Amino acid sequence: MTIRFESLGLYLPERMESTKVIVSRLKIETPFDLSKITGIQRRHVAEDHEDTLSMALEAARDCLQNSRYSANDLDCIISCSISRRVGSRYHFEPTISLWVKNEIGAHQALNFDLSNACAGMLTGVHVLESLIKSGTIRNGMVLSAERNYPGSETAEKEIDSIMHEQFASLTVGDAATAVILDDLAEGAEALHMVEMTSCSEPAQLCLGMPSTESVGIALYTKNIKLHAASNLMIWPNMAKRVFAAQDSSLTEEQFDFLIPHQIGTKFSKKSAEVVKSILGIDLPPMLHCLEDCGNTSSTSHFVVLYQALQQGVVKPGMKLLLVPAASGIVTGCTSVTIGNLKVSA
Amino acid sequence: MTIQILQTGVSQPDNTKGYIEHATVAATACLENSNVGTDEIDLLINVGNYRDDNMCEPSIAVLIQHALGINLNPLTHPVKAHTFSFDLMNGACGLLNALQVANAILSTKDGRYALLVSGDAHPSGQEHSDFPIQHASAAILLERSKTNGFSTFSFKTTDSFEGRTGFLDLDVHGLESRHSIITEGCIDEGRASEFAHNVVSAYITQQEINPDTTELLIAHPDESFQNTLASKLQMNQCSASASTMRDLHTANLGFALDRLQNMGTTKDVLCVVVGSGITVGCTLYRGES
Repeated sequence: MTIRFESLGLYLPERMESTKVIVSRLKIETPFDLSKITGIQRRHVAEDHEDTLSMALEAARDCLQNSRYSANDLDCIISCSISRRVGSRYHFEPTISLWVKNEIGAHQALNFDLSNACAGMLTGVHVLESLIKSGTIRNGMVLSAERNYPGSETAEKEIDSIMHEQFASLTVGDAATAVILDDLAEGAEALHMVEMTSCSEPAQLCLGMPSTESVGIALYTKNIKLHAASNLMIWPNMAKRVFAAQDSSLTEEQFDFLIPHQIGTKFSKKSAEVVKSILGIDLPPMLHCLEDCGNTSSTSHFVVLYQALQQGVVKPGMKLLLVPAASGIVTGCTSVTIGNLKVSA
Repeated sequence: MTIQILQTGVSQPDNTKGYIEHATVAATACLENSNVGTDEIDLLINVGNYRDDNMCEPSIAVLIQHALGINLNPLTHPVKAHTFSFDLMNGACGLLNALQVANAILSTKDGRYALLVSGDAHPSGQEHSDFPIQHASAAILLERSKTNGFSTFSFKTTDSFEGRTGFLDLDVHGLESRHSIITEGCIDEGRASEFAHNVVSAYITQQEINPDTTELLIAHPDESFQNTLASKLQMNQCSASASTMRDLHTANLGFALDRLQNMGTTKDVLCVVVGSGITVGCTLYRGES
């Protein structure tokens, strides 16, 4: 049995908002250029009538359009959104997965929601891979829709100093992605490895919840502590351990590309420097979608992958390493060789 | 492959405590009564809908993990198992989903121990007369097994949603949104018991379960619902089903399994959970006999 990414789905709202305009609306002058630090020039922003559910449905339908499966073939639907907005409400019940399942008509599918901050989609892949590998089900869809931009709007209203904990919120964008996994891999295509770990010491360094200062959801991030070298050292040591367990190494795996979580170009560069200092190797070339999409939280790796396939940067047979970096902190290694994945133009 | 219950722990209902405090008490009781160290947990899944401060990030699981001192940073605090944690949500059936997911992960990822924590609390951590769920938590420590325990699961939902919705509305709650929640709606118990009867009967047939030698555990707060379903299934209810408490929601099953564990039954137990959706989940726990 070899598991694969069978198909992908993507939805990006049409409306765009530039970093320059967002920063210009702040109450304070910023002594640094946010676009330069992060590489983010603009991001997609959902319209008022769009919500987590409508965006998730767009991604799910695109994924099904690119798939051999129809909705009633699906054995499982897992939703991994951080944002849970349906209309003006943030829903804890029912699950987003149940709504999606009923809307697309996947009535026989097992369904549940997972939540693991920006590692959500990859956590869903981890769980779905195990369910398929264990013989519980044959296939399934992992999806996430992130309507992150309201957090940026809260930050705009509340940031009153350059050390404010909501600065990271100015980097987020909206997106929805979906991926179907099955066990019918052909040729070289394969989901080789999905290993993840949660190191809880920094758990309190990035917290998302409703604000008490203005009406809206806010994300409070202690950026300097969260991105300290002591935390960045966790991933290279983890990567060394998990590939060594398979008598391999990052170098021997010969990845064509690495897709990091889309925090910012400076963060990616710093991460690569830490890897170099610990493992003595250069990371594979990294793929980003920061310039036009910003940080789309749990969907970020799949936005990058989808766009790289659209642009022909990633081609069938290429081997990729997807690396989460989420609040918790959660990190991991997802190794995948891409098959003949169809993507919408 | 199966997973068996090694230990359970609960934090009794107390509506003056928040969820993470309850979950930490339940998980600590669970771990302290086992021979498993905090550095040996491969997987930690939190199952809960209503949480402190309506927090959406990080996972509540990793905050519980932090409170328990599990896998803080393996570079400074070496561990035997590199814990992975996340939240799973599916209303009252979430713990049963988490048992299935834990079984799949432990059997395919070379792990040994999983800690599942369930429960809910009003986001304010305070008693609210319009919040129908007791603040409480139940934790279950599981070990991969080749013989007894949970193995096959069945979940079904009705084609259109029916049941409780729970949400915060920023337009309504405004600056109080962090500590506000609305729950509304409920399941028609007649339709729920009929649907559950159909789902569980099919599972009994498919799994060739002998109703005469198997006990029935229905994790549901309403005793009359339990009796109706047991009667339809023509099975005897295990005394662990009995609950005189108000709704423990995602922890209903955990509290029932805690009672089951304390009773020390060695029989096979058919566990049934019914929640909003309508969602029905069931699984057979193979006892030591």
